[in-house]
Amino acid sequence: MNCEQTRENLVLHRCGTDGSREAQITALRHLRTCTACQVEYEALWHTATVLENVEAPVPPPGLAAQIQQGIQQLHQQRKPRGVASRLQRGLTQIANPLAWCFDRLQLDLPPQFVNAAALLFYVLASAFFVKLAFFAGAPEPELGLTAMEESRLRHVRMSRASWGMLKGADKAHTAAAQKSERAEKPADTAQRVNQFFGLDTVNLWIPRAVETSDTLQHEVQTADQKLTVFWNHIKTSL
Amino acid sequence: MIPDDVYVHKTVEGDADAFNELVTRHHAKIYGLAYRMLGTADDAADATQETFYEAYKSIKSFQFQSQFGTWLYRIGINTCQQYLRKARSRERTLTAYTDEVAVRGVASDKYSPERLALKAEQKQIVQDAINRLPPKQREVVTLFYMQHLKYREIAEVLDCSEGTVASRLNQALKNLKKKLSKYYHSPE
Repeated sequence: MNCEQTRENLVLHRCGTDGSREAQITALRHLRTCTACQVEYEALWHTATVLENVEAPVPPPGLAAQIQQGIQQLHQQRKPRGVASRLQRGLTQIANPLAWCFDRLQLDLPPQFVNAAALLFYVLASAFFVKLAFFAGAPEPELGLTAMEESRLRHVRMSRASWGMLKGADKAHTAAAQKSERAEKPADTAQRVNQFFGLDTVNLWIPRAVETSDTLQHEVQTADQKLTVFWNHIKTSL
Repeated sequence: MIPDDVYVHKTVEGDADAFNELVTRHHAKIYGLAYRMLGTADDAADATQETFYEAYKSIKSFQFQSQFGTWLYRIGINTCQQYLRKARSRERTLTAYTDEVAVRGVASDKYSPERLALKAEQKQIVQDAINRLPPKQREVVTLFYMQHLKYREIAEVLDCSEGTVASRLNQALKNLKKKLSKYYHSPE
């Protein structure tokens, strides 16, 4: 073993580690023959002796009491006190998501502000969901041509004629009106048509022969159905 | 004597007085560690307090796999490392001052350990030499020579292998030998 290896092992030997027994014996054999390593070993021995014999620092007299007082304060802070502190702790836990956001934004806000902001946020969110659930209004009527056509459909009055709207057709097409219309004489009808179109007494529009009431009623019903189908078709195509 | 684990269990259950008993038992050792690591009494007292506060806050994380003292040493080492990181410039000023004092005082004299009559001076000289060590070497020297821990315990505190502890101790002792050799006779 050379000097370098011996000096590497000297510290371990001095420290009393459980090193290799053979390595220790080899180091000791080298020390007996090498003066330089002996000097080195003695210097290490002195250093270690000084370190081991130096007095341990003595803590100040009131240090233990001071630490214990601090521990008691920590313990009191952790201890739940009453309803108010529980409520505060509960609010703090609820407000944690906002507190995390504020920390990420590096906003050093007081805890009371964070709690108040969290409370306001949850109140607004609750109000929104309550309105959505319970106070949703009736659906608005459909706009556009479909709604207009539907309103017209209600006001279309059936007549015996195949086409055209006679004067006074804006009146509601009630069953009574139908009845009165069916009871109207053909001559009166023709006169009204002529007056509507601004014609003189020349009967340009000659109504058909009066049909029986049953046939007429059947015709009205089928015409009504046809008109309904017609308007429905318009509605769907639009 | 009641083992530390009993008091730890009581502390976990909410008994603060049980932790006070642990403070009484271990505060001197932690103070000694902090003093060797930081070099001044004020910093050592602050670090000691901080160590016990941290231990109390994280007492529930103690898993009883090692001695409570070993776990406490680990917290103390971490606390001292934080202090060292914050106070590096102050430490350099302190060692420069003590170097100057040491050179003026004992520059040409060589004393054997037996001739160092003033214990305070001896302590200060040793502390100065330890202060100039790198933090890793300072830790192992303090734990081995001042706290009298074994290699296995030091490895557990520092979370490293025993070989690493031995290596650091080897280097630390060589560095200290250079710094302390002028204060004692070398054999002719």
